[in-house]
This record gives sequence, structure tokens and C-alpha cells, in this order.
Amino acid sequence: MSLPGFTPPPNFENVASQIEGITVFAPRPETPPQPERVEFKCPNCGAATRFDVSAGGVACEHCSYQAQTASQVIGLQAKTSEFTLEALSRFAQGWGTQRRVMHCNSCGGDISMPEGALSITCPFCASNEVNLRSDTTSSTRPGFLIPFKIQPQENASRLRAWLSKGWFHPENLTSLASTDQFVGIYLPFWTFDAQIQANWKAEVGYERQVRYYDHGSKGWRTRTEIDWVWKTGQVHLDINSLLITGTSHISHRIAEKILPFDLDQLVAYAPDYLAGWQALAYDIDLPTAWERGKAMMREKAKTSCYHSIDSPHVRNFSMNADFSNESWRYILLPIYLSTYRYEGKTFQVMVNGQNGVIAGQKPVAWWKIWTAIAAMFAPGILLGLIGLLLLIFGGIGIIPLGIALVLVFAALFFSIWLYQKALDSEAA
Amino acid sequence: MTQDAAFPSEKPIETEDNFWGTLGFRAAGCANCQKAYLVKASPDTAVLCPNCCVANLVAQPAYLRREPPELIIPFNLKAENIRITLEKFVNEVWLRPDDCNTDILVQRIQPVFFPMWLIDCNIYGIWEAEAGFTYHVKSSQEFFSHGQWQTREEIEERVRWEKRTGQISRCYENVPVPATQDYPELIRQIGAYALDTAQPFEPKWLNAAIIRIPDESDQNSWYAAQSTLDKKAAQECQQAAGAQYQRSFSLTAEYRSPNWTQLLLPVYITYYTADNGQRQQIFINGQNGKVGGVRLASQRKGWQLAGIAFGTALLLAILGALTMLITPLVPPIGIIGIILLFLALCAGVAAIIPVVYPWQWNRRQLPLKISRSE
Repeated sequence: MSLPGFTPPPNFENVASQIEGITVFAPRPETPPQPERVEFKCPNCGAATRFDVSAGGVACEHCSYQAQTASQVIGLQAKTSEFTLEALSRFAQGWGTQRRVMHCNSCGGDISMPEGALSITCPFCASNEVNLRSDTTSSTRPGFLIPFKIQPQENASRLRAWLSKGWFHPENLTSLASTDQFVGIYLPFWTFDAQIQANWKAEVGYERQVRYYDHGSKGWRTRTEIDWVWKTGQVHLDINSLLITGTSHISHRIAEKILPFDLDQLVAYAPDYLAGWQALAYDIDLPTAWERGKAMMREKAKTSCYHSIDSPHVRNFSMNADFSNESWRYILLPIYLSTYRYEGKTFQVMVNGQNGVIAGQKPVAWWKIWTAIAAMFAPGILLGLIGLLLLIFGGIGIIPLGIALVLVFAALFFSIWLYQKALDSEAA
Repeated sequence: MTQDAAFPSEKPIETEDNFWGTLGFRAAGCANCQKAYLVKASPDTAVLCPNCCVANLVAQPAYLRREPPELIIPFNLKAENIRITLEKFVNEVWLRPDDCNTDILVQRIQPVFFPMWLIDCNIYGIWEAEAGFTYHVKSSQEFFSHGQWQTREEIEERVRWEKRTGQISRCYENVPVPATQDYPELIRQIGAYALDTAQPFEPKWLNAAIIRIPDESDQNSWYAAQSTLDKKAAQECQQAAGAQYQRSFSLTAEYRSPNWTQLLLPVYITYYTADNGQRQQIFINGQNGKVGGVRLASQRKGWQLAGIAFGTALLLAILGALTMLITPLVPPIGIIGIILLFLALCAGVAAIIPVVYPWQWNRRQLPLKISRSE
């Protein structure tokens, strides 16, 4: 029986009741847009539209049509989710707009593509051998993203300027590098928040100067002794929006170099932002990413504990880090990916789509490195030889030999540093 | 709703009458506590008021509905069982008053029927609440020791609150409602009755028992019924929503077709006189034998026992002292003196116990006292 006059509040819907004679109405879940097909077509001329960075909305390249994307900047107020697996299932599946996943047979990368695109150069490996396959993986919908702020056409000049930097790269790099087009792609990231209450216990050593009589030199000297004391302490840490990559198909080393992103510019996810752009779904799932994030957080806590100790001498250090209020977000961040070829080799480049910071692999002119290393060792070796010659004539040779030894050690140190830097420049 | 009309109407009972199909009952009341009863009409027999156990009941008019109670739970205890139960109850008290004795208590037992209402009612309305659903969150604790991290995962339960609303159309049957003001306290002391064992009322079940006349007004009884019905509705709405918790429940309802049924509950009442001269009731559930009431220890007895112990201690101390005085003459007797002094000390310390025990015991009994209008 129903009473006359009962109207459920707006946005409430009837849900299952476990008792006969009682009806239950609950707030309608904030259902994200259904994965219905959204066609981005110009209402004026019918041409395909895409998200235009300068217009800040969907725009038509053929006529003057522009439509602002109705999404406010939420920033770090963006809603976080708790660490419950049920929370994952609450999120809608799919992307909201019909997209297809392109699978690269060369590097294994999966790229979500706008419908209509049949092939594309893989932004990860520059391979053209890309096959289509249906999107069988169910992904959690990203909740927020940062839209592209850097115009695609700015990237060429940015790349040229970047290639021309540094002395140990080939001189003709800027002119001979055949650059592929930059591909704007939204990459998946996880952000993690947590509060950590860390309690530590350690033996802390305090230096003490002790004067003693040295029977060898028949004089008074001082030496440093350390008194060890057991100490305990507490550190409270608030970690906000720790970024962890959600894809394994990009170089994490390069990606870290283009960080950070200004997360104050986060907006709620809307399919408009992806119109005409690529987007990649996560393949590093939440538990795996959280384990990485947690490992970083606990190391931060450990460092904070060490910093709270008022002495550099610490031994038998132990601590426990109690995590609370852990939460996460699944977001998309804008990155331009590109590759260029030089002397038959492929090099990867990334540009932060929000602030334009560029990083990537750069070939090394190894002859410059070896010449520099030789030049660094030369003074030491030369002085060493002179010292040896002088030793024939007497003890004076010991001084240049000593200086030569110092120079050789300095050269060795700088050579290793330079070599590492060169390897780092080429590494993916 | 017009629940007043639905409440059984009461009429004054002024003289001996043969209502309820039985002869010889008359209304009587206590001048001390103003409680009213139906007692067997015999003007020569004095009946002590079972409520205050102070004054005898005297004939008076009373308001009572003319219809007999629909249900009754008959007395179900044998006399020997009552004695055993009472003995066990009072023997738990050390230093109890002399009047708190099983034989005396059994002798003073009065069978009394307490009335209560059972209401059947349909509820139609709209409810609203915040439903709490539990969910589990994974948290962790990280331990660093000897250069290695160890993780201990913890599952925390949290509650998510969501608004729920809806309609309710339910019928509730046999919802218990007090008919007397002291009913809730009585049930708290002697436990609830198994209402499913109630039988249709027949005068033969009354025997020599006296019957308490309801003293809750019909308005109060209705409010109590409404409150109980609302609580039942709240529980069912929570269940309907599948929620583990509920808060801010509100119900806008119509209560239709209320049907009142009166039920008589069997209670044995006896009493003892405490140190201060006040009579303390002891109640026995006439169905299952559970005993309730205030068991006071006698402070007077405590002081008496303490006096004896202290006197003994004093005597032992004097003897010990005298013995010690003659010890220089007969040295071996010194050991007896020491023993006597030690015993005097023990008796002196033990004298404190009977003083403290009744005080502590009686403090614990205070919350059990039934609030009575005297």
C-alpha cells in the first residue's frame, strides 16, 4: 500500500528493500556519463572537432566554431578515495567516449585512440607496425586530469633548443635529427595522500673531546670519543598527492625529469578534453602503485626521523610508521611524446604538457668524452713522469709525484662523473 | 489518530461486584502509597499493600474497564521451589537483618497479578533516516629494523552514512506496553515473561491473588505504545535498507486500527524490615522464579560483631600485657605473651570487616531500589 502524497526527494531512486511493506529510496549514485558514443562533430560544418589548447575547449579547425568545456578547476580539492577495493568497483568502467585501443606489436604499449584512426606511429618506440584490437581490459575511469596548456606547435622549437644544449653531444644533432611529430597523450598517474605517525628508537652518539698523554710524542693530545645513548622520538608526516606513474610503457627515468605537475590545476574528467588526443589507460594497478608509493613514503618518514635526531652518529636505528587516512586518486596528466632518429638510432623525448619542461635521450659524441677524460688525466700523468725523472736526481721529485697523484685522483673522479652523465644522457 | 477512542474505556468500580465473571472482588487502595487493587471481598481480613508493605488496603472506588483481561499467565511455581529460590537469594547476604529470613519471607508471600497491555497496530507513513553501512579499509604499519622493512596490514572498519527515505506499511502485533508506572522497573528486576505462554483469561486462575489496577493514564499508555511502535519501525526500516547502523530516524505516520489486549502477569511479593525500619520488597517472577529486590545488610549487626571482635582484642591485649609483665620472673612465658598480643592485633584488625562490609554492600544495592511513591 502506498500513502498518497509521497514523492521521493529529487535525485532519489527506489532501491531493493529487505522487508515487505517498507519501501526504500536512496540518493541516485553520481553516475558518470554512460559509455555512449560521443561524436565530436562541428555543428556548423560537420567536420571533426578536437580539444583546442588555446581555446580551452572543443574547436573546429575548418570554421570558427568553439565550445568551452564546462569543467571547473578543482585542484587539490579533487575528491580522494579510500583504500577499499569496493571503491574501485564503484567507479564506472570505460572511458565515456567510444575509443579503441591500439596495441603496438613492437613494444607492447596499449594506446587508446579516437575512433577513425587506423594506424599511428607508436609514441613509445616509433614503430609503424600497429594493429588494432578491441578494448577488452576494463579500466577504472580517471576522475580528474590536467588539460594540455602547451600548444603542440611550440614543441618543435622547444626540441631544437634542447638538442642544441650541452657540449658533449654531436654538433650536427640539431640539423640531422629527423624528428617525428609530437603526440599529445594523457598518461595515467596515481596520487596518494597519507598521514604517518613514526616512532623511532636508536642509539645516538654524542662527541666528546678527551685529552690524553701520548707517550710516543711525549706530549698532550686530544681525541674524540662518542658516548652512545638510547633515545626515542616521534615524527608526524603529512604526505599530499605523491605522484606514481600508472603505466609501464614509458621511461620512468625520463618521466621523473619532467615532473612536477601543478596539481592545483586539476579539473574533473570530461570526454571533451580527450577529443582528438590520445589517452593511455593504467596498467600498473592500484595495489602495485600503492606499494611503490608506500615504499617512498616510509623512506621519507625514515629520513624525517633521522633529521629529528640531534646528532649525525646513529646506530641500531629502528622505527615503526603507522599510516592513517590513506587515500588515492586516479588522474591523467598531459605529456607530449616524440622520438627522433639520429644515425639509425631512435631516441625518446617527453615534454610536460602543462609547463613545457622537456627531457629525453640525447646521443653522445663519445670522442668528446674520451678527449675530455684524456685531457683531465694528462696533467697528472705528465707531472708524475717529471717527478719520476727528478727522483733520479734526488728527493725533490717526491713533491711533483705527490701533486701528480692528487691530480690523477681528481681526474679519475671527474671522469667517472662525466662518463655516468654521458651514459645517463643516452639511457632510456 | 483518534487513539483515545480506541483505548479501552474505564468505568468506576465502587462496590463489590461480580465483574469478570467472578464473584467477590472489590476495589481497594492503600492510603500510604495510593496504589489500587482488586481484592477478594472479605471485610474482616486485612490485606497488606503489596507495593509499600506498610498500610492495609481499604475499600475505595477505582477506575477500571469492565471487560475482563483477555490473557493471563498463571502462577507456575511450586511452594518448595519458591523457598529454595528465596533461600539462595537471601543467603548471599552476610549480616542480613534478622527479618530477612527465608521462613519469614515465605510466610509473608502475596501472589499479585500485574496488568500490562499488548497492542496490535498498523503503521502507515513516511520515514527518513541516515543509514550507516560498514566497509573495510586496508591500512598498514611499517616497521624498520636491522636495515629491513616489514609490513603489517590492518583492516579497519568504517561507517559510510547515506540518506534513506521511503514509505512504511506494517502491522505490529503484541507490542508490550506498561499499564502500571512501576512495570519497567519490575521487569528490570525479575526479567521478562515468555508472553507466548499466555492463556485466555479464566477466573479460576486468579485464586487468592490480588490484582493491581492499572495506574497509567490512557494517554501515557498510548505514548508508550507509540514510542515502542516507532522503535520497532525504526529497526525494520534499518533492516529494510540493509544498513548496519542508523541515526537521525524520523517517522511521520498514521497509527491505524489499534487493538488493546490486557494481560495479567504473576508476581510473588514479600518483604523484610531493614535496620532503619523500612520494609523492603522482594519480587519473584511467578512464571520462571527469578528473584529481584534490594538486599540490605544490617549495619547494626555489623557494629555488634565488630564490638565483640574489638572486645576480644582488648581482652587478649590485656592478657598479653600482663603475661609480658611477669616474663622477667618466668622467661618462657614470654612467648605466650607475644602470641596473645599478636592475636589481639588480628582480632582488632578483623573488627573493621563487619563494619565496612554492610556499608559497601548496601552501596551496591542502592541502584536496585525501585522508586516507589510512598
